[in-house]
Amino acid sequence: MASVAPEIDNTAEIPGRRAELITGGLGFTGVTDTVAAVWERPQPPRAWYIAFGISLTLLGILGAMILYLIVNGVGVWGLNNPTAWGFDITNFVFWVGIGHAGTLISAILFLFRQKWRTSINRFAEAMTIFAVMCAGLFPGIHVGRIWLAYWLAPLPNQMAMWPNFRSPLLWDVFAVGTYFMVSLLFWYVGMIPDLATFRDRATSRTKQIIYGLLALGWNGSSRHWHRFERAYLLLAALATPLVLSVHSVVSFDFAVSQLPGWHTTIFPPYFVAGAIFGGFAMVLTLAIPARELFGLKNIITLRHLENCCKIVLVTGLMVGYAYLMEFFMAWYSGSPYEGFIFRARAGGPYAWAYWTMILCNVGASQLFWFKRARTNVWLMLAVAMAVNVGMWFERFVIIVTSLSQDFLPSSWDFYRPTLVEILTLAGSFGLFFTLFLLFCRFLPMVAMAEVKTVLPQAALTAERHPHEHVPPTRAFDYNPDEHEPPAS
Amino acid sequence: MERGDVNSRGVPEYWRSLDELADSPAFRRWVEREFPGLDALLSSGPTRRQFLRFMGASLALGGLTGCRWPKETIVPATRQSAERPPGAAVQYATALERGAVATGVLVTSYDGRPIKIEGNDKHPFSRGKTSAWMQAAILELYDPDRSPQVLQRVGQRDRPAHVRRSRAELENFLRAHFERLRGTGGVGLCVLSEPSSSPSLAQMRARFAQAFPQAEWYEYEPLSRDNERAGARLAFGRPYRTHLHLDRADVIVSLDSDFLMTHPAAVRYASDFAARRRPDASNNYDCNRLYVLESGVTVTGSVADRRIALRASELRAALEQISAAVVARLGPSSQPGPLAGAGGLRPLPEKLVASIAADLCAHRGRCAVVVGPRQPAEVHALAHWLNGLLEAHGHTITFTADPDEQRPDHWTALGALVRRIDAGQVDTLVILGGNPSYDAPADLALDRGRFDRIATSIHLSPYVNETSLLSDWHVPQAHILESWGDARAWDGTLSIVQPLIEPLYGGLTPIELLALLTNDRLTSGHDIVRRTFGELFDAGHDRARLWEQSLHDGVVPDTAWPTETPTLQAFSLGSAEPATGTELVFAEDYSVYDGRLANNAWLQEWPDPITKLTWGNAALLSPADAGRLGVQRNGDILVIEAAQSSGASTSVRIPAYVLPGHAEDSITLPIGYGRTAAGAVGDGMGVDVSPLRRSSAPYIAVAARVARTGQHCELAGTQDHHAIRSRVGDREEQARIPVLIREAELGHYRAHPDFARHVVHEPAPAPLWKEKEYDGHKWGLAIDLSACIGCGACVLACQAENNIPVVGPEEVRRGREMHWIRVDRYFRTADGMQTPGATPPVPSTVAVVHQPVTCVHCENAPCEQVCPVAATVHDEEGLNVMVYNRCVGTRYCSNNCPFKVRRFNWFYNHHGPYHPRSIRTGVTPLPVVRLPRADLTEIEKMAYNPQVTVRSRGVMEKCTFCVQRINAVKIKARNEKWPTIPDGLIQPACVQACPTEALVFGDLNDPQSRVRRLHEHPRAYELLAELNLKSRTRYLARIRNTGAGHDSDALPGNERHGERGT
Repeated sequence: MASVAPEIDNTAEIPGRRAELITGGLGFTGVTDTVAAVWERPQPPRAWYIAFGISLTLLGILGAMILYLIVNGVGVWGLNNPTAWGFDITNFVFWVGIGHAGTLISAILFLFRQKWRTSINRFAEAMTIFAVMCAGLFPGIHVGRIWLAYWLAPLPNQMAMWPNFRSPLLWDVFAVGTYFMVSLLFWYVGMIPDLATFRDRATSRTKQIIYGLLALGWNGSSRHWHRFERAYLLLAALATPLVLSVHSVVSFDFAVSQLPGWHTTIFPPYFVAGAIFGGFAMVLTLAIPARELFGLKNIITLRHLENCCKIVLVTGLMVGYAYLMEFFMAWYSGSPYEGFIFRARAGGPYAWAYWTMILCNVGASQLFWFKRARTNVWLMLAVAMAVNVGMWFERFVIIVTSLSQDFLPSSWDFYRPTLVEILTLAGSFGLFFTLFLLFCRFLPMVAMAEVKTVLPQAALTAERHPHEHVPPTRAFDYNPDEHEPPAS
Repeated sequence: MERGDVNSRGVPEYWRSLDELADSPAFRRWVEREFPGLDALLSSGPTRRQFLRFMGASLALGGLTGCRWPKETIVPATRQSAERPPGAAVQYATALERGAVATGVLVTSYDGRPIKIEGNDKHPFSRGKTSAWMQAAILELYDPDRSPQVLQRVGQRDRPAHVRRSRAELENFLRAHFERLRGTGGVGLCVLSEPSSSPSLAQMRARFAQAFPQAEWYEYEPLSRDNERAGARLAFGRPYRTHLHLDRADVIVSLDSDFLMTHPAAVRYASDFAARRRPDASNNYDCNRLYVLESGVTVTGSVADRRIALRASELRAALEQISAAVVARLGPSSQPGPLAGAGGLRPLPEKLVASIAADLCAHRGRCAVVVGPRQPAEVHALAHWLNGLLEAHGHTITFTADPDEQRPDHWTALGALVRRIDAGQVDTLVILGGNPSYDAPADLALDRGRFDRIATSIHLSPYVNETSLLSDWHVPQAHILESWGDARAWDGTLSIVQPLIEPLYGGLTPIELLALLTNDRLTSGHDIVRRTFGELFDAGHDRARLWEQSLHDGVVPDTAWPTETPTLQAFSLGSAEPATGTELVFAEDYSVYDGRLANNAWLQEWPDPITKLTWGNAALLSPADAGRLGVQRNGDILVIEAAQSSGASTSVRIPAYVLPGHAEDSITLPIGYGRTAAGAVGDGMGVDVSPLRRSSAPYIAVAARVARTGQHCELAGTQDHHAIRSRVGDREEQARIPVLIREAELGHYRAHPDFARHVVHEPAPAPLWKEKEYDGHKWGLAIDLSACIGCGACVLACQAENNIPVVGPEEVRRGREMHWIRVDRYFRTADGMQTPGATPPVPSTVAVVHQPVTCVHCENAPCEQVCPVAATVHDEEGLNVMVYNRCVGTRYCSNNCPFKVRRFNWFYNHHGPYHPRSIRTGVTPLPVVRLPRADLTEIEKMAYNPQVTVRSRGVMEKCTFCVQRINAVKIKARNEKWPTIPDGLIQPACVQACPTEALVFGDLNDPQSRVRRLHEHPRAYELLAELNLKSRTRYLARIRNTGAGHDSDALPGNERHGERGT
């Protein structure tokens, strides 16, 4: 690990003592200075430029591929008659899955009072937003008549015709749409105090105006804080069921159909577990270089990364269990079609994809049983990359193997992607990373205001002045275990 | 056309348009360099003037008075009143001829625009049914590659150029040229004609012979049935034409005969055969039995009860074995017979011979031994003799006199012509149709060298084909749907061929060209045909009335030839030991015939019934041979060298296709591919195998060398895609076949009539909600797998009816063919797909099964509930309808369809980017961004059925049960206040075409309807019923009648009965 400052290991569990979440003795100002420094430095690091250049190129390729697709038709992809979905829906489900971890971290961990989430929730949410944008792209462009894709939305029209509410694809539209909206709101609302900080530290008029507008007139008053915390809690409560629902609904695309390999009740929990698994792997993939690049190692500490690794390990086991259970169900159901599709996955023409998936998802994450693996950033990065690949292949295996060999053997046909599909997939990473790199450069990467609340100082203040007046309007406290509600 | 005249220097003296400039020598040189021999084609195309001409003709036929049309009276076989509202379909009777045998058809025409061909129920060899190639004739009519112009070859012999000439210029030339020839009595004048059954052509030929007594006339076709004639001549002393009466045959033994598919009477034969394949209690489980001995796998072989794979050259020995066994059973016969005994070779196991002979002897008078046209005359003669012994003559087999007893066989005729050419004795050669430069065997090729020895050659042809490019004059030939003519069916029944449309490209018919050559008083085809008609029917008839009646009905009554009773004579079989080495069998191709249909995109994309290959041919060989040659997978390229006496060797490189059930040490080579001047569609598709053919062994030859080259090409097949094959998959496929295609031995079926319902446990789930009940019409389909022979006529009928696009070989390889109905073909083996290379080779027990699959219109349609925009929904009569306008193309419906019958338009598919026409002539305004596309010409658009939407890109499509036909009848029924719609009146295109009536459509709510009775038949079962789809299509289980005592090679799968459940 070629780092400038020595890594501070805060992963040890010492009974009776809380490990510090923020290292390096950063105080309130220190946190603000560290995070704002990313934005305030006149030039981003050279690595940012390189990454941005690559991402922008890929984004351009994505644009070109979409143009080519629209001009010619979906035939430019390698899909065929039995396999009418391939890379398109694989990418969609993959990106939706990535988009899971952000809201899970911000909403569920918030409700569960997991303080360590504060260091990573902001960019994890950003990751969510961008991943869902990438995801939303694919159903939009994969339809045969792209110019009519809006017919999936329940718009009033002269035919007085609604979409078909029985179709899981429509549920998808609602589920992903709602998820995106709520995630975006959640992200933005949470960012307002930090945007105000940027506004206040802005050195140019333009920045002042832009961040001023974005900060919505935040002045840090207690009233603002009160409203903010109310809103944040409500949004967290709203977002929590969505974390579970969105991928459950996405899994209905498959589970509700009657295709062998798709038609299975295990899918909703299995997809959610898989999405968290993949999402956290992507968080790791992004966090490790970002903290290095932008000097955030004291805020996103090894402990944070280790926690992510643990979640990856647990969800990886869940996913592995689901893989086993699928085979069991296929055998136990007695359905010859179901039985065959699983034999074909493991031993058929796509066996290489299946075993890649198993190796990456079930195999690689087992390294995280070992603390040395959980505290070595290089190993973490390697496992996270493997999981990203594995989760992409999971969707590929589910979609393509099931479609390519269904009921009547006469229809069986092999699907192989064209260059256009491969470049479109690469291009979607371009879109994702372009947005993410812009976010790193122009928005507060870490929720400064929230991080401050988990500093020891925040708690000490309260303890040092036990008789200090607490405004009675504070109906809730976001640190209940450290704050006794004032006696009436 | 006055355009394009060149002066002595080959430079146009003036030009008036860019088109004319395009005829400049510089441009022509460029074109010649780019596309050798095709310059004339490229600089032509339907002109505005031609377009206006046929549009005018269309209007004229639409009931208005035109300026040209009323000159000739057409009495249509109209099925409706005399008022003809625009847009209403009218049917005319005519006939399609191939290989000198005609089959009557009815052609549906909209506003003077023929769009669909149906069988003629009054014609004895159609009986309302058609075959695939007949369906495809419509596309050929509107082929923009058909020749629009008279062409004259100018310039040096080695660098020829073709100049367009007007009809007047042609006529001037012909008049002058043949005037000169008439002076010499036609010395040096030869005619090479395709065989024809037309009495008018015969009459014109007689007039020609009168005008040019010294002229010679030769008939040649690359696929001839002359061995049958020779066989009859050997057995009876005179050539007779053999007629099968399969409806009377209990036992049929076929040797290399594909009488259900490639025989000229195949439509009728298939129907007769299938009539005896529907055993049930009502007919006391009557079922015929078919033994097929063949080298390749044919459609006939695929429906055989017992199919024995033998090398084609060993079939004679096999027949000798059977004959000897029959004689042994029946005792010595008094009838004269073959003088030579059986040879030493005994390819059939004795047990099998004994059972076949016993079966034949037990059904004397009710059996038939049929020999295919590839087999030499001796085998035919032997079969005649055996049939006589078995009392088949007069019962299951009858004879008529050969229409032209004196003519030499085709190979002899072509050989004689070639010898005359080589001797320099041919001054003028007139070629009426055909394409001898492409399809003649290597030793008789009418190549450039031979054409150089002919002073003047004139080729009448619908296309500028390989022969046209070498001829001095090319004359466009009218399509048969544009022609007046007459033709005879297999039994001699005469039909009048009447035009449905003015010739789109101004072509001539052979009789019209002969009229020009002989300076006939009559020049129009109509007049010539009427004159012949008048000569055929003496004044005793009411000729005018008979003519009109014949035009209306499509047949001239009582014109079948009288049945004759020939007597056997003693004949010598000679000795013929089959040559050693890999045998090559040249087979007629199911789609392109001898190559003449190569530019028909429907036929090119029509999957071969057995191999399921499209857009090309392959060397078909057995798995054992493939193993020996090291062929790993289909598409590995072989090099095949012909054995020949002279030193030079010719070889052909052709991809291999491993065909389970193919005889070992034998390779089947379908002819008709590898055309170089077929047109934009057919050029370069497949491999031309005629370099391996010799006139001495035109059908069965011996290869000098067969080897794998190590190269590979991906074949365009619609089934068994190599990349998806795996051991798990192959095992699963074999396990599923008995469930999907339920079969039983006749005896088992008799004992358990409802066996088909007990193959899979199908619990009837209680509905969770009140399900829709259909009280009005409830349309349904029944498919009798016992009657289906897998001929694929339904596929093309559907394509023609429903404007189904052709996507091209590249898209077929991708798995994107668009057919709404397909015929699934499975090979079933007891021991998996690979037959190990056992020595000595054992008769393979591979079984072929066919299953037509189209949308089954599930009442619980899985496609409907997953469509997010409600583009596929149920109508009130239970049709699963597809609303193209509403479809956005998520393709979820296709994913959720268990039958995978939905077809998605991945591109704009009417000349999509991978259609050969688009690849060759398509334009790309934005080359990087847009794939090439050739727009539909005005002529091509005429082929479309106006009743069916042409689907756009990005839209899902599928079988509608031909909803346009249902609605047409329903509208009529309502307007005319019918109490009910009679059963059978509504026929989807597939049902209407099916020669065996394996497909039956009707109203399931009508207790008397055929489809209802078939749905309730004990053999009926629902495909994938365990999915609770409530499909409207039921299959009737297939019955095989292999006979008792053959348990050793009982069908694989039958013993699995009842084992499998879900």
